[in-house]
Amino acid sequence: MNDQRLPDAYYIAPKEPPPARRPPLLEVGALHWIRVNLFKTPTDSLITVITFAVVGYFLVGFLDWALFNAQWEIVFNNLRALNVGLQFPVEEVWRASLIGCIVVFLAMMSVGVWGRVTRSWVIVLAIIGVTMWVVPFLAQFVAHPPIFNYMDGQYNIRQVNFIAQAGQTVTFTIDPLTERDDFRLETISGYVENDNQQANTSFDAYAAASTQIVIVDPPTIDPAIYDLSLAVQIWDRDGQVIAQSPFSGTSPESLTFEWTAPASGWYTYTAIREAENALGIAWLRVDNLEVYRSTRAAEGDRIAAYGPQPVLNCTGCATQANRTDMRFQGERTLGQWFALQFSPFLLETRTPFFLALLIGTVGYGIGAFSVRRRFSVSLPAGSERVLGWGSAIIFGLYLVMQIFGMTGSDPNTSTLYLFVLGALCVSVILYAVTLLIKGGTSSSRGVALLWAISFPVILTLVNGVAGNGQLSQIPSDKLGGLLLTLLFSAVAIIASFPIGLILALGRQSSLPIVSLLCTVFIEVVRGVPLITLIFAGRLILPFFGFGLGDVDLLIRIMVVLTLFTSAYLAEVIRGGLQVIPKGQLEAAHALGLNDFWMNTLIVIPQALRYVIPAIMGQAISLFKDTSLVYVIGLFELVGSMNQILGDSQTGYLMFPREGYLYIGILFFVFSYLMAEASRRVEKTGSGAIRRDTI
Amino acid sequence: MDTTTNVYRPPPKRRRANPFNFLTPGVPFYRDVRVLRLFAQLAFLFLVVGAGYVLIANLTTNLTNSNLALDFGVYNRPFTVAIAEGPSLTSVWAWTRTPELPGILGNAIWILAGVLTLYTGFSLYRQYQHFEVKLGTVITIAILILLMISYPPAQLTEMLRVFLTEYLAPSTMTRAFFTGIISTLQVVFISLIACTLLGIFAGIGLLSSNILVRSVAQIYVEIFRNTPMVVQLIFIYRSLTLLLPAPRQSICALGSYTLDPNPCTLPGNLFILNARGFYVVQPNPTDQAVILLISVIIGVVIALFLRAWRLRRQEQTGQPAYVWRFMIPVLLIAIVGGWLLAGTPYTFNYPFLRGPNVQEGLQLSISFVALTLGLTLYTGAFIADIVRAGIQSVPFGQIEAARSQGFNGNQVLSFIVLPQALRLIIPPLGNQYVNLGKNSSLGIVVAYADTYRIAQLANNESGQAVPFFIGLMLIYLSISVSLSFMTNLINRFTRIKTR
Repeated sequence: MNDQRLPDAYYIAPKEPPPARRPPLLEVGALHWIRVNLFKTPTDSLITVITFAVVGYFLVGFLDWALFNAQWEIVFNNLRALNVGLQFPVEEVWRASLIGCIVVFLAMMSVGVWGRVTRSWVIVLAIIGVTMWVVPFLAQFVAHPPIFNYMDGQYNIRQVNFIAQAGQTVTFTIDPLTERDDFRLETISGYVENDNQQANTSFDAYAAASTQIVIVDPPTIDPAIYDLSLAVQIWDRDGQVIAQSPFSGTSPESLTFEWTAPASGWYTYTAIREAENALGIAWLRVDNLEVYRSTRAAEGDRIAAYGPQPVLNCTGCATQANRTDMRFQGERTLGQWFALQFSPFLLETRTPFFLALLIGTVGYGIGAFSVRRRFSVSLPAGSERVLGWGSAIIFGLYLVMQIFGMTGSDPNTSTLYLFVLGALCVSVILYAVTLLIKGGTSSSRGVALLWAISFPVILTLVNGVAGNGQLSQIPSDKLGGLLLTLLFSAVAIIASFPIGLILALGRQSSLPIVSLLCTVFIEVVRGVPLITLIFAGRLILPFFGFGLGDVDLLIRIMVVLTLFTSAYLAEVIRGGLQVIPKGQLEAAHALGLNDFWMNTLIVIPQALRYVIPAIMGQAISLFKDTSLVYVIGLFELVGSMNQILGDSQTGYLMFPREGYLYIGILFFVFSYLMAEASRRVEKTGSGAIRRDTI
Repeated sequence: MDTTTNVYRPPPKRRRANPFNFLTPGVPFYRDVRVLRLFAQLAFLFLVVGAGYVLIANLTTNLTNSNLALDFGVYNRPFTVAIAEGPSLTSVWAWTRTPELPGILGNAIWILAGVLTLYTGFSLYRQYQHFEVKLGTVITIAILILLMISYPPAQLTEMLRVFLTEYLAPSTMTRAFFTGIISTLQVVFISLIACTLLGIFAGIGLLSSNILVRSVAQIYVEIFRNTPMVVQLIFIYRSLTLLLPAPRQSICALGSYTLDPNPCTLPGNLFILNARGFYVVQPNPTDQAVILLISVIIGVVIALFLRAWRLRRQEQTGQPAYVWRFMIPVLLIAIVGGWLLAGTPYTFNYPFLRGPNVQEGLQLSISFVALTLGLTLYTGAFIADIVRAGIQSVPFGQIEAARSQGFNGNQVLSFIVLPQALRLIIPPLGNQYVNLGKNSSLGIVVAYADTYRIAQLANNESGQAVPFFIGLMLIYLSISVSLSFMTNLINRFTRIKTR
């Protein structure tokens, strides 16, 4: 190797490569990403800063409220009321659970047949599952916020019922007030009894009254006249005093009293005064006691566990308080939010969640296995045909019974109805099982059959059967909550489908009178708000005769919702009909099909596939619109929440934001899932079509 | 081989000597398609009419049986429920209270402006017929109409005052309905403008390259599209009533600028907010407003001449026209100079707190604010998605082509993207406007006294559901039809111009 150097003049490029330099900071990594995505141009930077400031302000405010101030008891104490309605009989809740199981099972089976569970689903479900166990476990180590009860010369604290577990130690502190700054609502964090601005103003008012003439600024109470001597009393269920603290005396110092519960159950605490007509102001502070608001639903559970609340009377005590006048004041810690606001919700939903997970997994497994099975099972020859015809015959019988009014509501024929429905279920399920065993495309038919049979089963479960002990009829005004919302949506979208199809075909028809009448119906219904039609359904429909006057409001509203949706569906389907190329119709005619068969075999199947996303959009829209029926006093989700808020017994009136936020989240989750399902079907499912052909 | 025999020949057209003899000869009438079609339609008509007849007959008998005989005279019965909702009728059109009626000069100016408007309107119509509408014409008409509204002549104000305060005072059912319609229209009008603006901003935000803006817009659209409007409305309404202070602790504009312990009682507050409502300052024209009006009209005329001159110059020389650089200063000088010349063309009616009540100013109830806000946010989310889809439909190649031609960002947007996107945006936008009109009936959940609420109250009072239902249907149908007519009109402006 000749490493003789040439004279410098021969070198054009540097003799040695320049040392490697770091790329500019703003061109690689996170900073580059931030620059490109947030600060590309000066205007962009300005917009980013402004958006960040505005959104940050609102987001911080919202989180501050949601985590530290909000009272989510209204949600987790009323889950049952929100799911099935406040008046739904507790002993019949299993029916709603069964319906939920059926729907989850079939939905996951459909996913197994038509789609598949992606990794992100599994991760999300796993995170939810772990949270459901970890948070309640950690929650037991967080202390409850204290309770503050107010007392002065005129105002006694009430008797407060509470549930204590055996061995639980509760600390009572009697704290007299001699200065305004002793106790300020702004500085505390806990439950305050009787929050009616009294706590803010009473000290000044009281000081002014007690010092008679001289109002010093800031007002103070003369310790000489402070003689409110109090003692805490604890009562058991039978009204016996089981513990009493010593009297605090008249000195303005606090007294602490610890009490350990001997057994689990109801107790009552109250404060008694040593001398009648004693003056002064004091606060009773209670630590390590769980505060919950009683609701009818939660009350049922409590009665089952501990018996009814004690009803006691003590002389010198004010009226009884069921803990309903307690209101959270101040800011809680994040730990307290997890322990007292989030964990109860998880505890309430944990069992249903894992049940649904189990059932869903089984359903998914069956569906996925059926469609991708690796070995063949040979069924007895002809079994499929026998079961299919058998199901068809029983279904015919079922239809005939329905037409002649022999339904579950009729006490004379309810047993027969139940028998026929049971036979129908058995035969259809067996038939679906043979289809599922066959696998491949038959699996889809099997699942579709199961969905079809689930509908009368669910309706029978909701409605009940007359004269049957196990499946008694539930009056329709007792239905409510999410159950009613979903019922409305399902019935309206399914029932409106054939009507919408007929209206769409009618509007497209070449017969001018038919087309005109269909158009008028569609346009009038689409031109007025749903609420107007609901108004008519409630007030005018009963007068149309044909027994409509005796029909439930619920059914009438279902009819209205169905007609309303059918007009919209008709327009959606018409859009699909218009896409079908004319050549197809001509070809069908050339093959000798008449109009009926051409529509049935050629036009409608293609048109419907095109409009699956739009139909799904209509279903979502209807699902949201059902919330309107609360205006006429039906207790679906919004109505149930209104009922909970309006119940003077439970004291939730001040927390509508939490309640409606929860309902909004519920609607969002359902709508989002429906939209997602529609997207999947459009992309991969049976609705997928080659768009490039047209 | 003769192939022509296989070719299908349509039968020669049959000439009908007698129009009543429509039967095809040689075909029995029960197999004649036309007869069958006719009979099918007649049967259908008979079914529908028969069903309708039976239903209506049932309705009338059943109503009579329950002592609620159908009576359309119910509209003349007195309506006794007090309605105090929304901006009050007299305060919105504050100028109907102008004490001094303008003299002959005011009338002359008004008539001049009217003639100008008619003339420009006619030219707009001609442009419309040629599928070519000029933005300048539309803006001119808008300015003229605004001016006419801001300074109406005495006779008209008096007529309107009588109409609004005396005829529309809700003393009978009909008048109550009119009040309700006006309340509905107020909400619809304000939300329509607000939701369009919000939707355009959010729609552009959905396409922003700035990830923060894009995510915020996406979250907004997803949240408001996927939850029911009822829930949103109740949430907004209850939040406002919970969060806003009691009247005595009102929030007001002067709150942070004075040391006065009760700033809301002072005059000069631009707004006062409390749990009862929003109160904002209201401008009222005085007699001097006519000078401002004249000045602005002169300014507009000069600006239009300038515009024509600049455009002609652009055509002749090819130099850029810079129309707005010439028009905007002239218009600004006209407005500011006119204002200064006029002295006090407007007096401002400031709200102030007296005891627990807020007096003067434009008074907007919490129901009104909540309903407007709810409608705007809900419809805005849908419009945002429509705008996004419209803009995305313009092929990117076109934008690149425009860029390579030297167009800047604004020019690409206004000459290439928007004209094409608008064609796709406007039809679904019209649907959203119709939906907005219908959704305004949800004012019932925030206790806003709109048409639906009035109908409900009227029904509670008289028990006559049917006449009020028909009235409701007609009112909402006409709102829907006028909104969709309006969109069709705009659609005609924006569609592809072909001659």
